Amino acid sequence: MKMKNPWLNWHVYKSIAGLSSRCGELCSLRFTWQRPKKNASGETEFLEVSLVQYLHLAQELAGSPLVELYINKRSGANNLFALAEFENQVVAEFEMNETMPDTIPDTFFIKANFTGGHVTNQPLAAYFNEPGSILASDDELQQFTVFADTPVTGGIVETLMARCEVLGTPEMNGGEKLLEAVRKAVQR
Amino acid sequence: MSEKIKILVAGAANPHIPGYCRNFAGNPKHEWEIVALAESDPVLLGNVQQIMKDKPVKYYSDWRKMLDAHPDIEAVQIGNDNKYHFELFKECIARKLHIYSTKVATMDPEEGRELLKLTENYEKTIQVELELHFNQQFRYARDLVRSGKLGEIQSVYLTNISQSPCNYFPNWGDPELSYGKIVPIRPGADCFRGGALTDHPHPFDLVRWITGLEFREVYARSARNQRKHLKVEDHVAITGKLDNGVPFFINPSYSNLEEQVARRRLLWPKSLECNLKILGSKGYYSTDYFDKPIYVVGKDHASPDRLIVETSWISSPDENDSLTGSFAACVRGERSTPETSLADGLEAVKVMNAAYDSIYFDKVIEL
Repeated sequence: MKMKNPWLNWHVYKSIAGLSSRCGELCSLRFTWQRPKKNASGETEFLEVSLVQYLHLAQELAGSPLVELYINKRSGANNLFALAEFENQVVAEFEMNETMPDTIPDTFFIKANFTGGHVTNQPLAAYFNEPGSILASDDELQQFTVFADTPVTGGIVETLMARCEVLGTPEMNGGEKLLEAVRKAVQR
Repeated sequence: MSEKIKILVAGAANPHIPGYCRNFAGNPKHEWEIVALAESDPVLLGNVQQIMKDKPVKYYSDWRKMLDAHPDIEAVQIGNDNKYHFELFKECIARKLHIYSTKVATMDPEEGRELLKLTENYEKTIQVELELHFNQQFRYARDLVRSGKLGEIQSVYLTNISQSPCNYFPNWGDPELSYGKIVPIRPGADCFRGGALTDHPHPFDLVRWITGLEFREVYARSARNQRKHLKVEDHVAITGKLDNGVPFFINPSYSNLEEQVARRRLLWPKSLECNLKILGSKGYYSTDYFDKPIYVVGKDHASPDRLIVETSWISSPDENDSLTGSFAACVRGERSTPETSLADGLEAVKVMNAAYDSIYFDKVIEL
């Protein structure tokens, strides 16, 4: 039975393939695949389906056959780094990890680097395109800016409220008039 | 405020030197007093003269003459091309000076061994510039690991990706000046060692400093250059194992493009990417160099009409707790050891050379 690859329908892959003619020559690719433990597959599927399918995307984008593949896998876990080189010296980097804490969502990125540009869905700011660091366990996820915030469970709202507990909440000049304006507008 | 240390800057070839000059010129509380600067390239010299035009700094074209003219100086910053670091280092050691090395002391293992031997009981400070120790996010990472909050480390991922400075510092793209000698990136290649990997020792140092683990084996690849004109590598990707078989990944490339202009302008929204991800048995920590990014398109901004990252640096309230401050504190005897020693710097270089060898010999290199 012919092998199939659903990721060929992925909009990110399609965009990179479609935009590549506008960015010069492809030089390197970075693939990120991160899944929480609760979404992990078995080890064989991880290697022989997921990695093979991701590697196939790299080969399609490189437009050249694979000549070298090195897999650096943590023993007994779905956690690996891999480097692939294609005949035209395009190199693809793989970070694939299905042992992430259960509070981290599925994350799939590609960054393509060309002689004349870049195409990517990778957030500009770290993980969720939000400021701050991420500290996660299976039970809680914290996002905070180091030494400016007290880490609390939750996102921006929770972090901001925690900051106000430390700094105090600033007064809102003219707040009463604004409140009155809102109430009036709602009544119309 | 503590007394400033008097320092000579030997060379402005390193792309970081203008930044040091700018900080000195713009901050009256700066811990250094730059007494003189030597640089033989008139363009590089002119640039720093312009930056420090309001400061009483003396200028020389030859660092030897500068050292001779200031026999009472206490410290020297080594800022010339990497190829000449060894010679300058030895001279500073002979004169018993405090030494601040801008990035790598040397890429040559033999020279490195000799420097370590020469400085075995050296009573003055030698600090190697590895500035990410002062980044709050990476300090937090180290504290997390040491506290045991992440548990046993399972894997480490770190990028240190920047634009290439070679447009505005052409010497940085010269393989011999940068790497110290001409070595092809792979057999028969017309691209040579001395590019992004040589320019980025930080991730190799950071991984050791944050995790406390040593590098044990390295495998690397280098893609075809994004910059066809560049004679040194602009991409390297490295994986391997640390102590206890912990897998790591490091990318120290120049993958973010810049404009082909003489004066630096930013093109990729985030010119520097420094992303750390540490997975432990109890938790996961991920952080970005740009801790509080804001994006701006501004007619009059640093890169006009381009979306780029604007961020504020979280600086420590303690002046001694900075790259230059910690060196000054060591010189004054207020701090017993530098933040990053010559040995730390050379340990990073050892891994970097292993990566180069892995690319060249197409095999895993054991350390």
